[in-house]
Amino acid sequence: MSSEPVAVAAIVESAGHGASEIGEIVKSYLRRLRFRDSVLIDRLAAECIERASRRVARHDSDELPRRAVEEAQRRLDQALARALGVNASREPAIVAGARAALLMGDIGVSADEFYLNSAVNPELAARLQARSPLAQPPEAPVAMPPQKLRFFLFKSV
Amino acid sequence: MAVHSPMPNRPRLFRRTVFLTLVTLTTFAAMFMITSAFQQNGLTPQELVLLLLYTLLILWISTSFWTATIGFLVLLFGGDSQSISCLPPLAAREPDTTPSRTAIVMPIYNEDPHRVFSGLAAIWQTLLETGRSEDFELFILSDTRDPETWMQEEANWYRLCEEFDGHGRIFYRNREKNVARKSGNIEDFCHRWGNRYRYMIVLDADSLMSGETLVRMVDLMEAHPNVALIQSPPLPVNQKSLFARVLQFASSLYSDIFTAGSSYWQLADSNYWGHNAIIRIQPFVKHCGLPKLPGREPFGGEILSHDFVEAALLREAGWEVWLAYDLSGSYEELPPTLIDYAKRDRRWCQGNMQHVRMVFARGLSGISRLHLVMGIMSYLSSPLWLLFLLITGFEAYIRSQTLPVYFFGDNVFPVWPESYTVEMTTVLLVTLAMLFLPKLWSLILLFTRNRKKLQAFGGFFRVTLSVFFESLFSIFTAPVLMLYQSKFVISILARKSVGWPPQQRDAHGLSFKEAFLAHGGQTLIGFVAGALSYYYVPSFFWWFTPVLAGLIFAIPTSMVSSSAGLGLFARKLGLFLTPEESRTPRVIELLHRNLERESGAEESGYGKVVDPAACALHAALLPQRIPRKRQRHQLHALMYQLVEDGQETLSSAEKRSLISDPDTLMRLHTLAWNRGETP
Repeated sequence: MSSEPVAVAAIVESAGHGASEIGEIVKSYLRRLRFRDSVLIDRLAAECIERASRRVARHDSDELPRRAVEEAQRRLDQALARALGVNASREPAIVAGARAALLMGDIGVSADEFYLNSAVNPELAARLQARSPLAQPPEAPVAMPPQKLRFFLFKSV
Repeated sequence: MAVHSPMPNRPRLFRRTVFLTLVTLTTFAAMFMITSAFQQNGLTPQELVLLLLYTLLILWISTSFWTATIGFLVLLFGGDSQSISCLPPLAAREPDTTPSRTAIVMPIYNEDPHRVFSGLAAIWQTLLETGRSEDFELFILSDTRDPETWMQEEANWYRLCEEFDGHGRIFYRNREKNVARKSGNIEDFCHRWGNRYRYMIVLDADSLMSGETLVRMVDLMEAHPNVALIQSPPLPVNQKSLFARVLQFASSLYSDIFTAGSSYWQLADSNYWGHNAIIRIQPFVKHCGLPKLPGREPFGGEILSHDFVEAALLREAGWEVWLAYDLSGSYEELPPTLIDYAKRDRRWCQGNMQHVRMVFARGLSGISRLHLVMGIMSYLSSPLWLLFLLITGFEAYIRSQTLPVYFFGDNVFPVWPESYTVEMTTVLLVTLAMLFLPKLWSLILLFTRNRKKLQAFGGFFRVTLSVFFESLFSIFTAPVLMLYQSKFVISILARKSVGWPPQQRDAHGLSFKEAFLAHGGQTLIGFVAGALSYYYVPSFFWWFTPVLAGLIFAIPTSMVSSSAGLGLFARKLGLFLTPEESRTPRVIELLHRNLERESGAEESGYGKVVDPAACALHAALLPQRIPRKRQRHQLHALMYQLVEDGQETLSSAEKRSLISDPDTLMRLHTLAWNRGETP
């Protein structure tokens, strides 16, 4: 956390968490998001905490690390959206699907490659799309009308 | 498309005439015997009721007996040439324009995801091995409400897709509202994707079917365009507890003759058992949309046992429904304990009793009504037996209180009181013979027709011993089930509905407390009935001892039989062995292998929500809609409740609503991670 601005460190301390503790939470989250390069992880964690600290009130001990984790996820989403050529805020399901594919699927690429790639990448996009969850096929609807049943002795429907 | 059955009427008419004649003659013979015993002094009102009850019961028993006996003869002489597997292919009158694709659908509801997906992986693997998998797609139709299980199902579904490279061929859907339970679940599938497939193969959560069987079923449907449904006979497998292993053995050994016999006289008018069956989708959607019955549950409302009704509707529309008795590779599982078995019976009982109304549906054929009546009788026979025993006891008591008069008027020769013993013993023996002979038929068939199968059942000595113990066990459990089913029928008649509880499928030993709570009343009834009959009607007491023993020993029987250790020990001894245990089929072997793998279930307080991968997947599968302002506030309130009071203060439905909104889900996720709930 050496690169962290002094102001941020102050907010972190006042929020009740140790700076290194928050840093570890964010770093472990980034590793779980399949970031592999430790230098990149350190840098990203610091940036996430710094950005989160601008959005939380002082003394809010829970909110800062939560926001920092949220920021880490947002950054990955941006990177994935970039690779796919979609807008992250307009197509959240597609981006979530890509995130699932990255985290659960066997695409053989780390998050670093997406994050460091600043343009649409057809090869990476194709890999993601191939593993993106497709839970339901296109609908091919057919009517299934309820049958009319008439009964002796009982009320009919 | 109007369909006319190609099945010629002659064999149908002949076979049913033979069957019904045998059943009727047996019933008349039994009635004659009991009437001749009763009529010696004229019929008393009690005797009249007994006669009526006995007629109903013997009719039911002889239906089952003659089905088994005919099945025995069919199998003894090498099979039925008129079965669906033997009939020659039939050319379609008009080409089927629907896509030649089959959906394997598995409706699930709060089941153990690890077991469900292990089974599906085994099925899919064997299907891939047939080389015909490109014609199939797999659909997991989840009605699961429990939020944790829901997310686990999704994760397992994705892993299944990854394992078999099945993206775009293996699908998962969780219904937002589980309207009309299982039938509504299937109906929703048909509504949304019915035009995508020609057939669907319906599985239960515990179903297993080999790829070869799936392919064979499709081939049979293709060869017989007039067939709307083919039911395969599922055999129970994978049982560990003694109770379930005994049942599994009985089903494995005896069911062949029953299914062959049923197929013999039902032919193209067979029934649907709700799973392990292939259905032609077009006629199904056209004729099987089920209405809600008027009135409230248990007789009104949603049709619970939809399968019988759907089969009836298909038959009435002119489509054929077959039971492919000779189709192997179809399996299911059983409840592990007597109590779980009774719980399942409670649900099935309500579904079948609801069919009382369906029996009176206009336009149904005789055989459709017969199927419905047979379903009803499988539960109604219990209170009828109970009533029969009670009235018999009462009648015996009346007789024991009547002083015999030996001399009338001036007659110097004594008139000895007439004894029923010979007639009543004959009636009892005939009834018992009809109940136990099918077991003997199965043994004879095993000894004479199939040496290999005999070895798979453990050989001559072990299988005979197993049949003996199984018979003893069924004698012990029959009175307990009789009381349970009687209670169920009475509570249903009193309009007490049953919910939709998920089933307990894993082997688990029963504690004394559980067994006592479930069987305490039955034990007490056993003691009281025993004491009363011993004190007032000692001659009746000894006849009554098998029933009394079953009730008095209900608690130990239930506890001991729930033991998986004993079940596996019996297996070591070669008792209650089944061919599937001796030579495990590939699909079961694969299931066992899959079950040994890690389940992947999370144990942390927040469960799957804390896992970024599971959360991302869940978010991707949620329908994208913006909640209304009020809903957003409600979700915030629930969120604060979770943070401040703990997740245990939220109901399952509230937790479900929290993870049903993508934004709230992600907030929950980051919160969980922040609290150190790392997976």
